[in-house]
Amino acid sequence: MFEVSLSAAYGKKQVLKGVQFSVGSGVTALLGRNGSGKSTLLHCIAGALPFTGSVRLDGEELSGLSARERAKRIGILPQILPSPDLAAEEVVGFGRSPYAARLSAHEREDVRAVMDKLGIGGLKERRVCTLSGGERQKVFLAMLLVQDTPLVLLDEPTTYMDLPFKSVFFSVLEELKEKGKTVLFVSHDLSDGIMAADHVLLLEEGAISFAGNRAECLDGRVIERAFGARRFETEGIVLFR
Amino acid sequence: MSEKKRNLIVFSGAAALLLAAAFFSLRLGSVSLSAAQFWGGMLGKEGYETYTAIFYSSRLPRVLGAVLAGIAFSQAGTLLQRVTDNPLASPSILGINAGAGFAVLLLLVCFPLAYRFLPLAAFAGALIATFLILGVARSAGMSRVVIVLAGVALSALFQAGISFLSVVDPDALASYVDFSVGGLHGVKTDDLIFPAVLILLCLTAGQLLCRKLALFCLGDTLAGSLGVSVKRVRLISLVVAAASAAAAVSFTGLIGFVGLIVPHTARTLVKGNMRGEMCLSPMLGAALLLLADLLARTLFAPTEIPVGVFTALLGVPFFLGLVLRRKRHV
Repeated sequence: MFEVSLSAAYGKKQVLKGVQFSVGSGVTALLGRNGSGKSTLLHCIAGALPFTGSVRLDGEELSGLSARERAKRIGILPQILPSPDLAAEEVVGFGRSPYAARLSAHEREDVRAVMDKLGIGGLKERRVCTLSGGERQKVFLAMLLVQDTPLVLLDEPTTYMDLPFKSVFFSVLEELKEKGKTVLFVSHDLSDGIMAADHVLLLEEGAISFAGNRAECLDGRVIERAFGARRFETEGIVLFR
Repeated sequence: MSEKKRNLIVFSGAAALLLAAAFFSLRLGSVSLSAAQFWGGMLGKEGYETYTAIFYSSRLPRVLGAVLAGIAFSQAGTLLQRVTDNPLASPSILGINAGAGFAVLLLLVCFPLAYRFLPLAAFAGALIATFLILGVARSAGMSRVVIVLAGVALSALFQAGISFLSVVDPDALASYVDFSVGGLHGVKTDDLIFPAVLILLCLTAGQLLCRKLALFCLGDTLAGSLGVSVKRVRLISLVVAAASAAAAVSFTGLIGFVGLIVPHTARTLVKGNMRGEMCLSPMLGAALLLLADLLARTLFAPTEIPVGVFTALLGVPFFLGLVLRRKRHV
């Protein structure tokens, strides 16, 4: 069980006002309008921003852990990705850095297998700074998979993805679910967020305004209230506009 | 070419360059030593007393000084460029040069005859400047932007202090010029003991930080999510860089360029590999400073040209060549 109860501020501006939720393993979509505090919440959970409160995973308080121990439990794919002048394979291998100083032969094989699975096996030698936005997103997603943490945080992961990679990405989410991981998936794209999720959280003005399952969210009233978007169906596909 | 093979060639080349530069620095100067004079002087053979004196009282301290300063400036530059993620970072960005310069000039104004305390003043000035900057940066959460901005602002303040003191006491300014152009003239082995210990300690600390520093190129969020305590590692790295460069400034004066261009050169040659960069950068820094010093004292002997002129003349074309080559490859 993943339990969060926290508040955070930028200077005097309170951004998260007592956010409280608890979700089980599987994929949870964290939805909200721009500026609602989604990314801030994700960064607080990851330990990248200061906050007051607690973040617990299976009863263990994560906020008091050392950076290295936290890195064995929480992995994050940020929305804004860096462009290091390093080979893609080396960057993906960084995912194992919380565990050991050097990659073992077995870990090296794992790195290659994950890259192949995401369709970036051919980019191993390429410098990350020369890759497109979508390719970089695949590299850092591969790094996150190699890190293999029980809690996975994804900040707008589908932003640069083309359709073929989106289907690969959703199958990766299914695999994570099967492995019993807890995935928190921030998205401003309602279709992507709801399609992937078992549970849905809505963040409004720094607090959780709705927590429920996908079916409850899909009935339209929740989305209409939160985003002012209307639900409609065309040829069996649910859309919000 | 495989990465291992390329690294082997790069490191062998750097080691050969360093050894050759040290060998020629020991042999050549205003008095050039023949092979017999060189070996006779070095081994202290009878009949070679003059060459023994030249070797041990002049050449060897100078070579050791160049090697130590090269290691110190280049490692400081590597650390600073990594933790601030700023390709223009060098020891001067932490106010090391300006702080040392101000302290030296202040000493010369207040105690005009206290020449023997110049290295101490330079060291203290460099460290005080750095700690002032770190104080500002810490209160802003060790943000890399704040570190750079605080460094630039405090450097400007120390420069203003230098300008003020040079107007107040023009005689002190004349003595200060020697320090400000930098060089290894008159370095004695005794002057090197304390800096050598500090520089070698900093070199060890830098190697220990290596694995964590490698992750800084991913930005603070990802580095933190991979187990790096970002603020702590940044603070330790800055202190190590400052102590290393301050130790070197105390006996060389203000030598520019080494801390800026050597880390870039090393990074390009080892293609971003952090451990490779941390090992290669001190080797190249030492070789560059040895060659620059050799040219500075032999090219127009007996007149000695400021060594900073040659670190720039040797380093900049090589550095620009690498940058352009890399740009073409990208």
